[in-house]
Amino acid sequence: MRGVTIIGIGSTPFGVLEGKSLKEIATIACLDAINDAGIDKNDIDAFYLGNYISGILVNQETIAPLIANSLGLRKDIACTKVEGACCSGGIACRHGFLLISGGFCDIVLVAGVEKMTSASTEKNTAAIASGMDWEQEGKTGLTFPGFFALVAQRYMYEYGCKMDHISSVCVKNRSNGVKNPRARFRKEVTLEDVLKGKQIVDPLRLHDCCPVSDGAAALVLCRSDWADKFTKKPIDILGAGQGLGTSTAYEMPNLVSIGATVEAARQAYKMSGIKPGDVDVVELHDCFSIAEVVDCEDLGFFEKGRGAFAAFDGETRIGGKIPINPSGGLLSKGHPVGATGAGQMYEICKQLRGEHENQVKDAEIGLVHNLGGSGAVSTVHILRRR
Amino acid sequence: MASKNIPVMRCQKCNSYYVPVKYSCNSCGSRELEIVKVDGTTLIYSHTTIRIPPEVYRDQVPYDIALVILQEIPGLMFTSRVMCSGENKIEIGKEVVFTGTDELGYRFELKRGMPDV
Ligand SMILES: [Zn+2]
Repeated sequence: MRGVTIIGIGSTPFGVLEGKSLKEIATIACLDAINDAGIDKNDIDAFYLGNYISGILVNQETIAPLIANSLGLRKDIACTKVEGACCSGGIACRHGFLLISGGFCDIVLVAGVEKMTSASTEKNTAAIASGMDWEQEGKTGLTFPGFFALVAQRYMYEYGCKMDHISSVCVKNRSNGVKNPRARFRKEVTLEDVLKGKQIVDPLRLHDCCPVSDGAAALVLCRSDWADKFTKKPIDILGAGQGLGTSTAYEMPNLVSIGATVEAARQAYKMSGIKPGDVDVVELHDCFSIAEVVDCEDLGFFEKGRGAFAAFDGETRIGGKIPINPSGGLLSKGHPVGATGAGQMYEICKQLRGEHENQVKDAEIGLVHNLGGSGAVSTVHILRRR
Repeated sequence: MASKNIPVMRCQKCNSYYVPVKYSCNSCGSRELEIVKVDGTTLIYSHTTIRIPPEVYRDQVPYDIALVILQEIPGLMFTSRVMCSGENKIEIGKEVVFTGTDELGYRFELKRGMPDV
């Protein structure tokens, strides 16, 4: 297996990108990554694009060739869209990794994009809900926020914590987002604000839920032995994993643990030889406050039942035991669904290059966790600076 | 009164139980699955109240959705609409009674006039 290294990164801000189309924002992020890598676009041997719902939201499909042609990529390369709901971007990154690691390509462009804010709330709600198993569970009227509300309710019951503990995740992530120019929300919130917020899906309130956003992010992946030719700050991908969970809540063997995450993490830790205790900085999938709590346990940073108390006690802040989501996470950046995974990779690369606006001191090893559907699919990547 | 006549799917080859519809048995691969009616004690495993629904259910909010376990068949759980009435509040561990299925799937209601389980 060949080594794979990230040599270029690009990202638009996440938020309301008024007047900018899906094609435009994806093109901008990809060009930024290509320029950052210092490669010629004709060096690119394949293109993977993560996207979830462009067909429903902006009536545009076949978008991998569309973006490739917008960039003017070579005509002899494979350009492929991948979809796994909120995990689409992470899956695109892992597919790029596989092509290089397997020896089929030398340089691969991977990206994620979503354009959401130009569509109506009704359209967004319906489009996002299309990631449920409609034949089985969507028809009951359960939603993604509803799924995570079920998880939160059970979590509190099993581990004796309150929303005070779970929602402290929002306070921490919103505070981190203040410094991040790519974040949609850059204002702090207090725990009182969160606990008095509008009830959205009991027990989750407004700030417990991430906002929709527009956004695009891209990475240039390169065979490791070539990386030094292009960049002074190569970031090696030490491990990449992808796991399958269940497509419905009622099939989960344990509602307070997401099997797809556990499996993706197991693969990535095994491939990299890295242990949770070696990791310096984490970007994980905090689509809801409770998601961060469950994720940080499933990824091995805390024992089951400790995650919410750990956030409450400041252990996941910068300077704490393990800094989680120093970018502000999805709760601050917003969640342009198909772009999120690539955006998380971008944030960790900035950390490992020592260039992040909210830098974790001396970060050497980073972990990226992306989650899609109601726990249906997850990817984990482990990265290290040289 | 426990829940009666809850329709579930049973594999005729290996006796595994599923929430309908299942097109093949995940344990043995058989496609010979049949609907059977089961009885038992049904309890709230977790619950939520939906206030922002999919568009088609807009006129129904707020509504309660719960995961309901059937004690007699471990591992079988139903994502269901649950009706609560009056002062009787939905809580994890409370007993519910099966009231039927419709286009929304399973429906239960909180058991009335009995001490909490
Ligand atoms: Zn069977």
